[in-house]
Amino acid sequence: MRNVIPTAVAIIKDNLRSRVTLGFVIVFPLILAFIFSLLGQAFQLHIMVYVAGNNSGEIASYLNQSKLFIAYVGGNPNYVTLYNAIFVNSTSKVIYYSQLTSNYIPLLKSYLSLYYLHEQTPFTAQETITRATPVAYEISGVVGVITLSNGLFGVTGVGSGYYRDRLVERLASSPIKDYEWVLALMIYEVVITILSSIATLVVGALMGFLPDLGLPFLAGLVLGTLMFSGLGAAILGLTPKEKVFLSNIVANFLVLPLMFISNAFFSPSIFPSFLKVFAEYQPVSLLNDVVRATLVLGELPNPVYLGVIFILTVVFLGIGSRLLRLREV
Amino acid sequence: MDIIVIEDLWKVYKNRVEALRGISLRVKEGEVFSFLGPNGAGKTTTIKILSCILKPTKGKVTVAGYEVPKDCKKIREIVSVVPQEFQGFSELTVRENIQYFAKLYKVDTVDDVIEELGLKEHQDKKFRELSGGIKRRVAIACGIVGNPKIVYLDEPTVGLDPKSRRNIWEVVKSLKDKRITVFLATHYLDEAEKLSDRVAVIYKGEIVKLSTPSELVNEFKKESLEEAYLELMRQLEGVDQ
Repeated sequence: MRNVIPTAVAIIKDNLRSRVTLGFVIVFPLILAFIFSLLGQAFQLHIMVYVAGNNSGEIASYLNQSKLFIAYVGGNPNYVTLYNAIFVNSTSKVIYYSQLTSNYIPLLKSYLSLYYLHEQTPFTAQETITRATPVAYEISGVVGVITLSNGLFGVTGVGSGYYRDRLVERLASSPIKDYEWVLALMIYEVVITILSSIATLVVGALMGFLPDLGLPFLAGLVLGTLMFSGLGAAILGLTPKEKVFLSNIVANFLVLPLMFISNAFFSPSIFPSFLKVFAEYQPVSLLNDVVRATLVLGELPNPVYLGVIFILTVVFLGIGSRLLRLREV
Repeated sequence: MDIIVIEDLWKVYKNRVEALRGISLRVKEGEVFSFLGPNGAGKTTTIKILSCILKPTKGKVTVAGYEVPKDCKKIREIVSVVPQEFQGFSELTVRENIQYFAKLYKVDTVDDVIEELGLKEHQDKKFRELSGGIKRRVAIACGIVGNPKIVYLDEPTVGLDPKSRRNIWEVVKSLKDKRITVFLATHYLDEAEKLSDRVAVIYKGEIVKLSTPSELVNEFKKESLEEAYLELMRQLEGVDQ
């Protein structure tokens, strides 16, 4: 184990002193964060209204005629934070909403009073403050995506560079052990992901999203980085060493669909039905859910999602470290 | 004393290419042993097996009395490979690069090595900023900082200008003076002639000559090792055709 830290320090210094790498680690996430958080602010949300209680079906149909509200039957007050929706309890005459939909409440009340023309009891409105704003959604999505791109490209890019520069060959004949080399690379990936995340969260803060930074978030971030680094190590390990640059091309083929067919930037509901399940449950989406639960809502992540990520991490790291050996012997 | 012993060594790659076809040779402690041969003849494969990077398919290999692959952990502590066109950590300084390898070998000889290889004025420069010749000296410094018994130099002067080549030759001579065994794979016959105690010529995975440079020159009745080598290659290619 004694060679892990010196090797990790050497890799970190070697890469973070390079402007190209710094650009990749800091500027790329900054651009993503700016674009998508601005996009998030510009998003015209569907004003979803869930109606439950007396005459809920009729009220929902009535609201749908407005062309402004998209109303569904069912739901509960939690839908306000879960889906940024408005929830109407037509029995108790209470409207639940968040600060994201507060502008629409007077209008909704007018519609409902027209529906209840002959009734005197007015609707009361109850505001729930939610942290799940569109900016928070986009920023946390960017954090998930940089975990993917740093993890995969970090290993394939840095590793293939060191093969090309014959550094791997030199290390292979030195006393460093295979697992020390892989572990040092993983530490580097974690460091750059933390740096990229900090840059992203600074943009988020400028856009009004103050993250709930804590150990659960950090643990999720590290686990996610290791998962994708393990995948990167497997790709690099499988690539013939005389064509080691191919590993970056393969990583590109993986990163782009995983990045965009996910819940990182858009709700999976926008995808065609054949992609919906993939977009909702592929590793990046699971990681985004973990990041959102911890970073945005300050909650503990879904244990099933966390378990799946943990299993994938163990599997990818196991395969990756087996394939990414310095030597045959 | 023989520090390297190779007996009937075979290396067959997964694609069934026979890189080494039963080579045998012995290298004495403290000698400069040159390994000559055309591209793809098996020079680098031999070095990789001797330095415990590749596994031999068949045959017996011992390095300083340790067996490959059984005792590779011990072998890695006493040998060092300077790969062809080794680039190091390009954003680290010369000192940082050498220091890193010193840590791997648990030694503190950085200043001595910097002094010995004349790298003092370059020690704070980043590796990527160095000229080709200085880079090669740093590569050798990274190779010898761990006080190895054997150094494998793979084409150490490829692409260097004549002055830088001479500088590297001086470094090789100084290694010999320190009783470090140097296993030199090279294309440059003048280099082999000037530096080596003995040379082996490998051709298509087989050792076809093993002698001192002067014996080889005399055998072919030529003026230099280069001419003798070219004559040998002509004969071998003639046999092939």
